[in-house]
Amino acid sequence: MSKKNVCVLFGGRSVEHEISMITAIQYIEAMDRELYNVIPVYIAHSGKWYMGDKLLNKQFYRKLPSCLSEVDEVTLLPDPTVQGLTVVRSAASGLLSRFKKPEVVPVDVYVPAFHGTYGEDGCIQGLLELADAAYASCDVLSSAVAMNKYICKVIAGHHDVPVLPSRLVTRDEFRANVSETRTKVLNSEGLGNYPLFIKPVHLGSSIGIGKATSDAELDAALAEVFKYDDTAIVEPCVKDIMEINISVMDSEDLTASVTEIPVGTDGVLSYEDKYLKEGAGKKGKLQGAQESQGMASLSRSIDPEHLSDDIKKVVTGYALKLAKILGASGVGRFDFIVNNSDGSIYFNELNPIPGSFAFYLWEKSKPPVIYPQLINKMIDRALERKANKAQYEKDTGFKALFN
Amino acid sequence: MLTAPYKNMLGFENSGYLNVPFNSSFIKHGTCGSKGRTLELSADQIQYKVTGDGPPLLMLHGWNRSGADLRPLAELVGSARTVYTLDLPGFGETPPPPEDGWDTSDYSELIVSFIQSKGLDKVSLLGHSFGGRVSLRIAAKYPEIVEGIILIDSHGLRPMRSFYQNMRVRLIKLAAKVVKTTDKLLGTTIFPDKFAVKFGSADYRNAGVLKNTFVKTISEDQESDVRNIKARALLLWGSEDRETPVVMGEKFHQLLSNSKLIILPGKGHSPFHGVGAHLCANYILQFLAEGSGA
Ligand SMILES: Nc1ncnc2c1ncn2[C@@H]1O[C@H](COP(=O)(O)OP(=O)(O)O)[C@@H](O)[C@H]1O
Repeated sequence: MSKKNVCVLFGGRSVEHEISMITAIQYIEAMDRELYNVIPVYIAHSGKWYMGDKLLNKQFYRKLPSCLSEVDEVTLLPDPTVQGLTVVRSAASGLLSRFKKPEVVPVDVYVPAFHGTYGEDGCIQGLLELADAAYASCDVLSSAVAMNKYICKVIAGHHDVPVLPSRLVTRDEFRANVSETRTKVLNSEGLGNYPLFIKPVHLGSSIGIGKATSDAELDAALAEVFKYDDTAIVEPCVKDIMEINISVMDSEDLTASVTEIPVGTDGVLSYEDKYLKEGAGKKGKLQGAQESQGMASLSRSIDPEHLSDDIKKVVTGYALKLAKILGASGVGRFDFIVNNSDGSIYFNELNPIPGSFAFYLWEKSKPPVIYPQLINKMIDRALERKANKAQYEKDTGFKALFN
Repeated sequence: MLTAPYKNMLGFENSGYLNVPFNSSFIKHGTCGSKGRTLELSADQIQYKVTGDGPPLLMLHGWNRSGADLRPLAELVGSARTVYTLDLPGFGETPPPPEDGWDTSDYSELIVSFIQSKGLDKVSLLGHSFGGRVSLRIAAKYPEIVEGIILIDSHGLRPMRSFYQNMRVRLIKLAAKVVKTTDKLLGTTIFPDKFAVKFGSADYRNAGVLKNTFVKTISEDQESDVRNIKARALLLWGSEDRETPVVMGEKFHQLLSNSKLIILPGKGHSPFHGVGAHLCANYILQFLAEGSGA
């Protein structure tokens, strides 16, 4: 069997750019190279696409952006007859290469390993659809829905999956009148009392989140969100909070992993908790230098014993139900919030492309799915989905135009 | 590392070396010539951890490592095997061999006693680096108890040096002899104080009580062992390994009668670290399944 060409896409125009790099490099490290040729493609902050094995070495990025001249610049054309990557500028800049026709690097499957804007929200998925390429992630709609925390919650609520009350605040309305906006928020159902929790509606990784116990703090928290996003979502703050995460994979069936309780320092997971705690400062010793492994290095309790089977069952049920309703594919992670003071469970969000692809949950699942197997399943499923889609494509021809 | 109470228990707190009591029911494995005393290490002194379920698999770690180094890998392989991660004598929590040192045959004899003491008939063996040497010894001498052998960036074959490297090694060896003789004649300590510090490998310098063991094991050429092994073998090799480079893996592959070599792109001498544990486990699980399947 010949090897498949798998393009792993990462970086991107997102505040979670760097985390995407960690996710992707780790993913590639776990890929079975007996089965796949890996084509790493890094989308720089500028939005340009680069391809080359050098992109797998973290040290390479120390010399950004000048080092990018050492790798090929590529693009994906929205042209179903191409599907591969078109080389825009070859790193080997000789006289010859200048006159060469653009080369196309064939790709069998794309794996978007982005977090946040443009990569996890349906944008890149749209391009991949236009190119008629096989890709291993949620499709345009489910990505877009998931990346809007508000819309996602509305849909979940509509299907009887409990969610916290919430209200949207736009940057424009806030800037036009701060106090009026505040009054509107406080008059919304379920938001009458402090503390409130404020977060950007589109972002993840705890960027821009804040808590407010007073009018002044609410104003400040909203202003903070609007540094990153044009819309904020305000919820009641769950004081005695416990979070439960679970991953769902779309392979032959929708399957759920074990659950986890991520453990933050003060109840709320910060960006530092998620990505900086472990790797930083810890010097490699004889036992093997461990670099930051992104979400995989977070201190967490996987399939926690003290979590009742009932809660695990409820969360698993909600996650599978939502995955189906939202049409999730690839490997996603559903996050829930438990209010410890009354035991109520709320769906919080779906991460279509979770940090580290939540592989650390699958290795503990029953039966265990180790990372290379998880990757195989993702890739196989992407090819299957493309094949399924091809069955529905009709030859449309011209009928109306020449009547 | 030995814990303090352990040291007291054995009563060699200030001896500088670790001597081991002789109450063992097992064969003696080493003698300490200097004091004319027989010192033994028994299988029940081997510290280890077990994880998983299924037929037994023993994991033997590299030099200066311990069972802990392989434990993340063991956890993943545990879905199909009962995995024993051992601290080899002198590493982790297991006491070291006697002062005059062990060779890999000594190590292998003790591991075989360990296997027997656990009541295991047949085991799969996994050896990393130095642990690979010990695995090879066992597989060659006791084929009847070895189901299959997995070598990860293993030692055991003569390093393939370039002409320049060869010349350098020969010169250093010659100089070492001269310096040692000088020391002996004049009662100086140039060799341990200066020479070894400058020219000895970091492993040698850090070997401490294991210096003689290091010297005995590092120079062993196990090619004849390798040729004799009939068991199925899986070879996992980091493409960027500088210590036991890929050419060694290829040589093993060539010499072993039934082996599969998988080169792990971008990985170094310890490809099972970090997420690499998953990749190694992937190939190991496949290898084990193929073995027990058809
Ligand atoms: N309503 C809330 N009350 C209290 N804490 C919350 C609430 N919503 C979120 N959090 C905390 O904030 C963190 C980030 O929020 P989340 O909605 O998961 O956004 P992100 O996508 O940025 O991770 C969560 O991990 C949780 O600890």
